[in-house]
Amino acid sequence: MKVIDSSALKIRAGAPVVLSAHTSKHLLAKHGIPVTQSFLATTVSESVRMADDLGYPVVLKIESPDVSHKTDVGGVRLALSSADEVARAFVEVVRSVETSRPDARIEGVCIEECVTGGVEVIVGMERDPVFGPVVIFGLGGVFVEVLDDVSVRAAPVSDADVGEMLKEIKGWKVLQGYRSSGPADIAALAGIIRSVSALAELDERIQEVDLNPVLVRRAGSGAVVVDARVVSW
Amino acid sequence: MVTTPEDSVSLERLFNPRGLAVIGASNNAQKPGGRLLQYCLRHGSSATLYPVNPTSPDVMGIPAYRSVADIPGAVDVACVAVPQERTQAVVDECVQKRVKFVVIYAAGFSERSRTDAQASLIESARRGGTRILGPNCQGVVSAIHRMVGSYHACLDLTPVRGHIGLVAQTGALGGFLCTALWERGLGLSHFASVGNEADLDVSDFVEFLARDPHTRVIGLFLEGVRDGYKFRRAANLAFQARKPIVVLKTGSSAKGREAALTHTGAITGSDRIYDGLFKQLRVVRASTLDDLVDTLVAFSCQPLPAGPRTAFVSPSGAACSLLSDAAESADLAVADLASASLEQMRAIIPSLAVAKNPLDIVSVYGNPNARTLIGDIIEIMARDRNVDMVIPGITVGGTAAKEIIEHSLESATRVARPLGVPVLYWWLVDRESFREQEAAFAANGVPLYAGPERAVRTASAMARYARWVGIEDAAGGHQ
Repeated sequence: MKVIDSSALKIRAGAPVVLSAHTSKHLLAKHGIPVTQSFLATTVSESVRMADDLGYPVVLKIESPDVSHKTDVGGVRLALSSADEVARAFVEVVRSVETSRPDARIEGVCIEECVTGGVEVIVGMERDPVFGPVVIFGLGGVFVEVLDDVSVRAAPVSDADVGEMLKEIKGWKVLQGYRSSGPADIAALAGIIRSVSALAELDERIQEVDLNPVLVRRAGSGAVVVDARVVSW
Repeated sequence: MVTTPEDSVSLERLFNPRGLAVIGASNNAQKPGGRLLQYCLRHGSSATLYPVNPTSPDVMGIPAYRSVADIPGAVDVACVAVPQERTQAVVDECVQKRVKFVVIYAAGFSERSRTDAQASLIESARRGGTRILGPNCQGVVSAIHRMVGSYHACLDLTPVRGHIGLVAQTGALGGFLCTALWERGLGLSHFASVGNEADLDVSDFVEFLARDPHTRVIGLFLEGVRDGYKFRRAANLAFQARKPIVVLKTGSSAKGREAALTHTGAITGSDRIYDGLFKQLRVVRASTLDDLVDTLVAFSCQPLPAGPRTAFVSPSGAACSLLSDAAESADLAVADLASASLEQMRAIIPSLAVAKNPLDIVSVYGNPNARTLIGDIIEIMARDRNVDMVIPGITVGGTAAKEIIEHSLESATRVARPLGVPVLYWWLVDRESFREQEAAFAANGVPLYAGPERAVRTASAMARYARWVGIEDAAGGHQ
C-alpha cells in the first residue's frame, strides 16, 4: 500500500487542486459548516482505534484526491459495527481501489460517523467567468444527475434568495415532507447554503465547492455534510 | 436613494444630440448613409444635421462637408456609415473633432475574430474621450427626441413615442421589435442596438434607461453579458426605480450559444446561471419574441397588480376552461369574487349564465345588454377587493365587437386603471378586424392579445414582478 503525505497535496503554486474529502471537510468545519466526524487512518490498527473512539457503527471510505466516485471503485463500506469488520474493510477497500484505479494516490482511509435518515441534497459553488461565484442547490441523486433540477444564485445570497432557491426546485415538496415523513430541517439547510456563499466571498482561493451529499434531517435535527470536495489554489 | 456611480456614462447626448453627423451620406437612398439621412429628414430629426461626403457639396438638399473636421458646429453624435476598412480613419477624425459618440454599423470586427481592428478603434476613442456604439450594430433611435441614428428598415414606419426602452445586442431583430411595436401603434422611448459592445454595452443602456424619466419598462434582447458586475448593478438600479426589465436571452441550447458567440462575440455562459441570476435580479425572462413584446406592452401602459388574483370574463365556456388551466400553470390565482359582486353580476348577465369566475356570459347575441355587458362586468370585477387583475376576452367580430370594445375600454381606463387593476384583453377574431381595433386599444393604453394564453402568460409575468416588489417593500427596501 502506498501512503503519501497529504500535506504535499495542499496549496501549491500553479493550478488549483482538488482537496480530498477529509481535507475539504476540515476546511468546511473551520468555517462553521456542520460535517460528519471524520478521522484519517493510514494503518489497520489506527483505523480500528479510531472506530473504537468514535463508537459503532462507522463508515469507512477510501481517502484519495484522485477518486471522486468512491462507491464505483469499491471504496466505501457503510454501517461497520465491530473492530473486526473495520479491520477487514480496511484491507478490502484499499485492495479494491488499487485494483480498479492503480494510478490513484491513496492517502489512507477515513473512519466516519454513520448518519442515516433525512433527505440527501447537494450544495455547491463555482466561479463563473462573467458573474463570479455562484451557489448551486438541488436534491441528491437522480434529481440533480438526471433531471437537472437545480437552482442557482450569484453570491452573496440574501436570506430571501436562499428561500427562493429552496422553493424553486421541483424536489421542494420532498423537503416539505410527504406521506409519513415530516418536514426536513430547512433552516439548517439554508444555513449551509448561506455559509457556502460566504465562503466564496471570504476566500478567493476556493474555486469550487461540492457538498454531495448533505443530509437534511427532520426539522430541529439539523443538516450535515457527509461528503465534500473543495477545489482550491 | 439613487446615486450616480462615477464610472457611469451619461447617454443623454447620444439620444438627444445637438449636432448629428452622417458620415458616408449619399443621395442614393439604397446606400446606408443615404438611407440614414433620408430617415432623419423624413422623421424630422431635432438635431442639426451634418452630412459628410468627400465629393458632393450638398446631399439631399442639405449642405455637406468634405470631412468631419470641416463641420462648423459641435458634433454630439457621428453616424459612421462607411465600409469596415475606412472605419478606423473616420473614427480618428471624429476623435480629433471631439465628437461625443461615434456609432459604427460596419461588421467585420471582433465577431469575425478581428479583435485587433476593434481594439485599435477603442484605443483611438479612449484617447479623445469619445464613446463608441458598436461596431456591428444598428445604432440608436429616440422617439422622445426624434433622433434617428439608424438605417434599419423599421424606420419605414414613423417612430411612436412611448415608455418602452429597448436594448438589443442584435441589430436586425432589435429593429424588428421596433416594427412590431410601432405597427401596433405602441410606443418606445429609446432604442439602441449595441452590437459588439466594443465600448458601450447593454448595462450602460440599462442604467441610462433606469434613470430616464420617459422610460417605464426596459426590454432586452440579450446574447450574453460581458461584465457581470456592471449588469448586476444596472439591473439593481432598474429594480430600485421599479422599472421592470424584460429579457429575451438566447443561447439556452448549446447550438444557440454557438450562434450567439459568432454573432456578437459575447460570452454566453451557462443558461442555468443566467436563469438564476435573472430571478435574483428581479429580471422577467421572456421565452419568445411575442412574449417579450406582449410583456413590455403590459408593463408600459398598465398599473402593476397588487397580486395574482385574476378575474376572467368572456362569451365562451371553452375559453373559460382554457383560462382556468392556463392560469393554474402560470401561477395565477382564479379570484374568489365577493358575494356582492356575484349579486351585481346576476342582475345583468343572461339567465343561462352562472355568476362565477371565470365568468361565461354565454353569448352576446340576443342579449339586450350585449353592448355594455363586458364593460359592466369589468367594472364589477375591478371594484371587487378580491381581484388584482381582469382578463376580458372577446370571441365575436363585426359591429357587435366594435360596440363592446368601445364601451368596455371605457371601463378599463376610467374604472380599473385608477383602482390600480390592470386589464389585459384577448380577442379571437379574424386578422383584419383585429388589426382594425388594435389602434383603439393602443390609444387607450390597454393591451390586446391574440388569444387567451398570451394574456394569461403576460398577466403571470406582471404578478411575478408585483410579488418581487412586495418582497422588497416588506424588507424595507434593503436587500
